[in-house]
Formats: sequence, structure tokens, C-alpha cells
Amino acid sequence: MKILCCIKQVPEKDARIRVASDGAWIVEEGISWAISECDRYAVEAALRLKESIGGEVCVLSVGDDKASKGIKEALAMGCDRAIHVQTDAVARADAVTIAKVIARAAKDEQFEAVFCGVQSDDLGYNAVAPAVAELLGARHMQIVLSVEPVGESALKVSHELDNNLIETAEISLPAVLGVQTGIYDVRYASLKGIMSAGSKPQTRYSLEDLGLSEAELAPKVTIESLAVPERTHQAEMIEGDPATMAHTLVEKLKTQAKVL
Amino acid sequence: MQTISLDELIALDRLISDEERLVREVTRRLVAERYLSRAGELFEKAEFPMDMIEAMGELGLLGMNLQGYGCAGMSNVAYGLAMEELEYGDSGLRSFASVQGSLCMYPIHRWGSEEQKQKYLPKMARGELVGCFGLTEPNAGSDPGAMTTRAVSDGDGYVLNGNKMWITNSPIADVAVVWAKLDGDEPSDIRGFLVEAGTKGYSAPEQHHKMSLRASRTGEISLEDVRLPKDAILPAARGLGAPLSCLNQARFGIAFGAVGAARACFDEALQYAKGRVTFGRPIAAKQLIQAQLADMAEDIALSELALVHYARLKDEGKLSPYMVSMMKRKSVAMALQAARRSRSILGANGITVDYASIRHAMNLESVYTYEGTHEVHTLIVGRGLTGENAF
Ligand SMILES: Cc1cc2nc3c(=O)[nH]c(=O)nc-3n(C[C@H](O)[C@H](O)[C@H](O)COP(=O)(O)OP(=O)(O)OC[C@H]3O[C@@H](n4cnc5c(N)ncnc54)[C@H](O)[C@@H]3O)c2cc1C
Repeated sequence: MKILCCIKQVPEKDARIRVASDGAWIVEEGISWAISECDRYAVEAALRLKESIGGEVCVLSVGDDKASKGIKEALAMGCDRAIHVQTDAVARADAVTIAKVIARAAKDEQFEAVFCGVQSDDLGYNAVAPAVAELLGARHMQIVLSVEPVGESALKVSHELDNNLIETAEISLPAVLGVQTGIYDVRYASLKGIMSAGSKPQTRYSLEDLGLSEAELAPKVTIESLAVPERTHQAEMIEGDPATMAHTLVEKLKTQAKVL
Repeated sequence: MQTISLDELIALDRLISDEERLVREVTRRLVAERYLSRAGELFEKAEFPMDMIEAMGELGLLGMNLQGYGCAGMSNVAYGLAMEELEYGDSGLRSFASVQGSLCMYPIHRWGSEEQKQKYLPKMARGELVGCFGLTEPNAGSDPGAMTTRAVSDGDGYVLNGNKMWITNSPIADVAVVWAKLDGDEPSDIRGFLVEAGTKGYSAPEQHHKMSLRASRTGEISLEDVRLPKDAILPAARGLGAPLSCLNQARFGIAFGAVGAARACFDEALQYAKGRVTFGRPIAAKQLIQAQLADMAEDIALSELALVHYARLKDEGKLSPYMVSMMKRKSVAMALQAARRSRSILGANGITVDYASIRHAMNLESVYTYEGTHEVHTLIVGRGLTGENAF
């Protein structure tokens, strides 16, 4: 099976984020970057599918040097080859713009299964995978929990719906799947994988190579300002015996925090 | 307020390749995901987590700077950085990797016969076979030339007698690299033997009651008329120089490892200092605490940068044993001081294994002593500088 997985580099989890002087982006200098958490699961899902049915996994990333580091790691984890769309013009781009670049770079290859993370750790649009599916004319499922091949032309996929419902359905190929975190033990890149990653084939495109016009790349969403959440001191001590405290807490989680 | 992290202060990424950075990252992730949450408990219970052997083997961390025979063949910078990340977890975890890779696989790789290499190295790299290194004896530590373990040629093989002590991994080892004097009494008669667990007359009882390196297994090796075939000797290892050059390999990794322990302590101290309030303000806002944090950060940063330089020299085959002694001595002493500082910043909490600092401080006491004590390395560097032997 011809499998694609798409990955994005984001600031590492414990990176200390500072808002840049233009107020609309972060200071990138000095930050360590890593593959976005959901995308790691997308790589793992892609590799597992290949291991069960055969074929190849190509990893794709759009971005500057940071992206090439992520690509190297994905190759070290076991992907067979890579497509790198080299540009620093899309760092702040919205999901649809990124999806256009991905779809254009992937179009001629006729990938049968495309894995994306359900959302990225930084912008969290939750929309690249469906947009890629739309542009490629492929079927799509979001918040994917498990994937099994059904012959050569379909996958059996479980995914989350609203209200804690889980649907399991067959999806015919080509399909784009947005993979949820936490569903596997994601493999580590082995040292031998790291050593061999450099010699795996990489196709590099610029935006011009892909023939994307400025109009096509014009953003639909622009970030106007970013702010660090303000620290507010709103701790409240709940009093009473354990049963009362638990009861009050649950009430508050339901009515005030609205998380239950 | 614009702040700067320790990683940003060191700015190491400029000095290392993508491969080396990735090795550091995957090892860091392995330790964070599979070790850190249970480090205190393992230390308290004096348990070595056997599952980490397979995990390190799968990643390729065991014997990672050796070429061929299933080893990853990475640079010495990558090796050093991996040891640093393991010791960020615990000195016991790093000790396992040092002993397996530098003290057992290295001598087999360097002096072993082709059959020995084929037989042991791939399995040791995968963690399927565990090795240990038996040099120290009850009455010969800093002065291994004074060892009394003897091998005697006997027909078609050898017979070994003697006792080794303080041997990391001996209770769990499948194969021991045992150093003994063959048919003579001089340091130049020292030879290396591969003794498999289960060989008649060989036993490796555990040493208990350690207050340091508790999450690492330490034991004796007792050899009573152990009869070995001819092919159990490492053919090309001759004289005291052979075990000493194994130690040089391991010391190199230990120097990096100690920086990892120091970093763990620094991270803990910094975080704690920001949250702990006394006299109305976080202790991080007190000059005396800042002075300690600044000292720690500076020591760690300068050690790390120097170590990467020496690792590059090692890759070029230009690292002298004097440099290794200096690296090990400076780095471990630095880490021990950092661990004690951090322990103190944590106040009373600092004496519990719920925090890492006391564990690292206690572990580093072993690291200070093994692989050539701090004093022994002082004398080596001193001898190099003055030309006078002060041992
Ligand atoms: C946890 C642990 C694990 C170990 N693992 C291993 C292992 O896997 N394999 C192995 O072979 N060994 C191992 N060792 C042993 C270790 O290498 C020795 O303990 C070390 O070499 C010191 O020897 P010693 O304990 O006999 O101390 P001694 O040599 O008796 O030294 C005692 C003190 O005297 C000082 N001293 C010695 N000579 C001089 C001198 N000439 N001038 C000034 N001061 C001097 C020393 O620095 C030290 O402070 C391990 C030790 C520990 C604690």
C-alpha cells in the first residue's frame, strides 16, 4: 500500500514561549522544535499499517530547516522516503493553505492512505486532514483510534464521535485519517535508524515547483495578536466532610468549569 | 521578564549534528517516559529495572560507539550525549550502559577473536546477554596491578582462582570479563577471560546495603578452580594496559553522564526555587539562591561544552588518557557539588527520594570512587603535568 504521513514541527512541550515584538507570532529564536504529538501517532499508525500489509511509507512536511529535522526523525523511525516542501512562507498559514500545499505535493503520487495528526500542538486548527481529503478527493475520518487493513482497497477504522460515541466503519481508499494521540506506544527512532535516515530518498519542492500562485496561497485566516494567558488567582478551598467536598467539586466541574 | 533556559545558555545544537541531536532526543524521551516516574521507587527498593535492558538494546544504546557486530557505530559525541541522558534518569541506568558497552563489549570488540565477537557482541548489543567487568578485588582497587586472582595454564585450557568485589551487574551477568594474572605475578601477566555464568566454580553473590547506586546491581565474583577452555581468553589483551584502556572508554562516558545528573539536579532546584515562598517571596528571588543557581548553570554549561570538544578529539583518535582523567575528575566533582547545592535548595524536601537531588548526590558518591577515584585521577593529571609519579 502506498502510504503518506504528514508531520509538522512545533515548539517542544516545555518550550518557554514569548510573544514576538509584532504581537502576532512567537519568538522562534532559541526554541527547540519537535514533531507535533498527534503527528507522532500518525507516523506510528502509518508504519503499523505498512508492517501489516506491506508497501511504503512516505513522510511529508512543509517548512524550513526545522521541518527537515522532523523528516529525519520520521525516516529514522522507519519511514522509507520523504517529501519536503521547503519554504518559510507558510509558518503562520491557516489550515486550508497548508492543505493546498500538501495536496499539491501529494497529488501525482496517488497515495492510498494518508495519515495526519488530528490537530497540531501549536495552532490546533483540527482542519488540515479534512481539507487535504477534500482537495485530494479522498474520503476522510477524524479522531481516529485504530486502523486495520481490509484487503487492498479499504480500511477498518474506529474513530471518536461526539458524546463519547465510537464508530467503527470501513472506509474505501483513498482515505485521509486524522489520528488521535495516546492510541499506541509510539516507537522511538533507533540508533541504526538514525544512522540510515540520511541515505533514504528525499524529494524537495519549493512552492514555485508546485506551481502554487500567490492568490492560492493568500491566507484565509490571519493571526492578529497572540497573548500569554493571564495568571489569575482564583483558588477556592472547598470545605466539609469528604462526601460533601466531592459533591461540591462535581457540581462545580459541571456548572462552573463545564468540563463534566 | 525575558528568561533564558540552561539549554539556551549552552546552545549545544550549534556544535552537534542532526544525528547526534536525535540520539540525545530519543534517549531523553526514553528516560522521561520509561524511567523518571519510578526512579525514586527503584532507588528506595534497590531494584534495577530489567525491562530497561531490552529498551536500551532496542534503541541501540548498548555498545553504540562500536562498529559492526550489530552495534550502531555512532560518534563519541552521540555516545556521550546518550550517557548524559541516561544519567539524567539515574547513575545506575547509565552504569549499566557503561559496563555493558565500554567495559564488556569494548574489550571483546578490540581484543577478542572473531568467534568471540560473533558469539557475544550482537546479543550484547540487543541486551539479550548481560556482561560484567571484574577487575577490582577486596585488596586491590586503585592499584589493580596488585590483584591476586590467578589463571594457570592447564592442558588444553586455564584454571582460575580468586575473588572480585564491587562488580556492577555481576549478579545478573551472563558473561563476565575477568582479569587475572596468567602464569606469573607481574602486572604484565594480566590477561582477560570470558567466563560464562553457570561455569562450575563461578558464583556472583550480590552485595547489599549500599546507600548509593541502589538502582544498580553490584556483586562479588568468586572463582574456585574455574576451568576454562582455551578459547575463553581474549587473545590480544595483554598486561594491565588492557583493562585500563577499557576504563578509559567508560570514564569518557561517565564524564558526560555526570553532567546529566547535574542537569537533573539543576532543573529540580530551579523549579522548586520558583515555587517555594519564604518571607513573602519565592526563594528564586533571593540572592543567595540565585548565586547557587548561577554557579550550577555555569558549571554545567562549561563542562558540557568542554566535553563535546574532547569527544570530537576522541572521534579523531586524538584523546589522551590525561584528558580523560581530567574530564572524569572535573565533571563528577562538579556534579556532586551541584547535587548537594540542589539538595540544600530543596530544604527538608531535599532529603526525600520524592525528589531527585539526594538520590543523585548519593549515587555520585559511587561515581566519584569508581572508574578511578577522584584522587587517582588527580595523580594521573599531576603525573602528566610534572613528570613525577606521586602514587
Ligand atoms: C557501586 C560501585 C560499582 C563498582 N563497579 C565496579 C565494576 O563493575 N568493576 C570493577 O572492577 N570495579 C568496580 N568498582 C570498584 C571501584 O572501581 C573501586 O572501588 C575503586 O577503584 C577504588 O578502589 P577501592 O574501593 O579499593 O579504594 P582504595 O583503592 O582502597 O582507595 C581508598 C582511598 O584511598 C585513596 N587512594 C588510593 N591510592 C592512593 C594514592 N596513591 N594516593 C592518594 N590517595 C590514594 C583513594 O582515592 C580512596 O580515597 C565499583 C565500585 C562501586 C562503589
